[in-house]
Amino acid sequence: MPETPLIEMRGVSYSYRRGEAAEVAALQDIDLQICPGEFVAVVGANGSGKSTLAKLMNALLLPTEGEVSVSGLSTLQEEYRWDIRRKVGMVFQNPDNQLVSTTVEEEVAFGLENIGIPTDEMRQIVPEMLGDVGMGSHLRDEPHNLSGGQKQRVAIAAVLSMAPDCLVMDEATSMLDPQGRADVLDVTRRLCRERGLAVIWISHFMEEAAEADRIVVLNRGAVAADAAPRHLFAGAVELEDMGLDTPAVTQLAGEMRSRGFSIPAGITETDELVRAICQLYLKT
Amino acid sequence: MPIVFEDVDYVYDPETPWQTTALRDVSLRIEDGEFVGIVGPTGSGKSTLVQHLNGILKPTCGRVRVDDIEVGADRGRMKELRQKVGLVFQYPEHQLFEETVRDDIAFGPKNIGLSEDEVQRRVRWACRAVDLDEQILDRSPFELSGGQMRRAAIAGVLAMKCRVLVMDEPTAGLDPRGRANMLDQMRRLHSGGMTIIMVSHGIDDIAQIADRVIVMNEGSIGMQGTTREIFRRYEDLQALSLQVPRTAQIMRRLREAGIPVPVDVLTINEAADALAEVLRGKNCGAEEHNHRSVHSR
Ligand SMILES: Nc1ncnc2c1ncn2[C@@H]1O[C@H](COP(=O)(O)OP(=O)(O)OP(=O)(O)O)[C@@H](O)[C@H]1O
Ligand SMILES: Nc1ncnc2c1ncn2[C@@H]1O[C@H](COP(=O)(O)OP(=O)(O)OP(=O)(O)O)[C@@H](O)[C@H]1O
Ligand SMILES: [Mg+2]
Ligand SMILES: [Mg+2]
Repeated sequence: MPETPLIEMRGVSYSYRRGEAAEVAALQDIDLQICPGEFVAVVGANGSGKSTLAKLMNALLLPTEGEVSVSGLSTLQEEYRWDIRRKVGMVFQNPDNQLVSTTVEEEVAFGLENIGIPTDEMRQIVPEMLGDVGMGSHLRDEPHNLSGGQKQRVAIAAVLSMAPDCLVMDEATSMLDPQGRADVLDVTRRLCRERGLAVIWISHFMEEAAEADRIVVLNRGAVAADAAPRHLFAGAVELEDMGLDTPAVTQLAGEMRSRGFSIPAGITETDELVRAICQLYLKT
Repeated sequence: MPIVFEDVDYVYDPETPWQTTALRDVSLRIEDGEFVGIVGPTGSGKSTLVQHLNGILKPTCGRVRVDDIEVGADRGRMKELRQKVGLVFQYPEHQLFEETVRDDIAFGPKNIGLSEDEVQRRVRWACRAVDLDEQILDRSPFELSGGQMRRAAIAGVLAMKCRVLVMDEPTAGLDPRGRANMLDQMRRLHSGGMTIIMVSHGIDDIAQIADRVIVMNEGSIGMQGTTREIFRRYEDLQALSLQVPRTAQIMRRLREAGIPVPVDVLTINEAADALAEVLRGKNCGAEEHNHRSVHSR
């Protein structure tokens, strides 16, 4: 029996400034399903519609055509919206858009309060959650006085504190140092595996996308591909024409092929390249 | 003339309970025409450092000099300073404010009294430089996608044609093609004599393009050196939540597997050349010419 999708989009289109001369058709005719526990990367050129897609998933935007539903609840129905926003947590491209409290700890406490965690428990959980994202020593700081990456860390902790069923990360690690970026990706993948959290990971980094179960490629507002990373990076889709590229290891494998070495196509992991090179090296 | 920091401290909200020392005893020198990359963990003081360069922040202690202008002290020369040094902020939203993208990009050039013709020429040039679709010039800068906003913010600074360009995370949010184009553009400006200072968590970007790297750590300079010297220091970087470039990581793995490749490569091409040399040395390269025609795309 097929799993019921957590998020389902049917024939969804979205235009900004609909009906005006300045109308922008950002998405056209999107059909997409995301199941619980799935880790789905969304990639695409600037302006291809990724953030618009994200905002449709938690009813921040409503489709101009078609329907979006979350656990079967349509975002078009006002009475479901509160529920939908609780189920689908979103970290925005710019954290300034979501940090609203006067201190870092309130930012996280707010989420916990929302899901009914009692106050004494909260006192313990808040520092823990902020510690997990490396912000344990900034509990009393004002969010708008933090560095760029510190804001992103707080925004991530705040969203996770709401215990959503689905997490939408819109370039949520773009301002983190390499270790921070890897940590957040790890935590997210763990929640996905262990708690069945569905994850939509929007990123311009193909290395990150390569770790997803599925990659959805947006091109000019339409789904150009929806495939496993290996399939996509093996050259099945012309990524470069869409402003994209492939992971560094895939690029290096390609460079070696064009230098005359027989390396298989579709390498997306360092281990695979190491194996292929070792075979060549040890053959003689 | 160079940019010089002498024993600079910077404290946010001094003498309040929130007091934060963001820079501690920073001394550095950047020569004319250099391309310097600045890296460092979250909160290490990178943005605070670069905001001194055009006088948005003034040192709490110590001195910052750009050419012969002393930042903070020469109050009458702030306008001159801002014409010399263009700064792109970490978040483009902090930079954009006009009604339309066109007005936003034109704001700086207009402000320094250029003719309307020259202003429009600069707007067009800057849009091309950042690959910004001219169709969106009449939109509000706040009705753009994240990457489009970033391009607009960069275009506005480029249009000033300053001699020193300071960019805080200029490639964040750009798609892969946009990132590559932006790096090419910076390379062109640099070879035209511009001094460029780029803050980035994108180690691969810095590795490709900077001559020299400054590593910030807890408000101080943790390390500095040529790009190759710095990105050779795998363990030191890891201790600071940083990394060597991705290609260098792959080379390390090959080396661990017994392939004697150099690990201090900075770009994919360099890695491929070095790896090819090692394989050919052992005669596993096959006859290059036959294979090239078969395998190349
Ligand atoms: N508030 C808005 N008003 C009008 N047009 C908008 C608005 N926000 C986005 N757009 C336009 O809609 C299209 C899709 O934008 P969207 O933000 O979804 O792209 P994206 O894929 O997230 O891009 P990026 O990688 O740059 O973040 C773009 O052409 C953009 O200019
Ligand atoms: N406006 C402000 N008011 C008070 N403290 C601040 C302010 N801006 C930054 N800080 C603090 O100063 C320190 C340095 O911040 P800065 O923004 O320079 O770091 P950064 O290296 O740019 O970090 P990131 O990589 O996250 O952008 C941090 O501890 C930060 O919390
Ligand atoms: Mg976006
Ligand atoms: Mg910063």
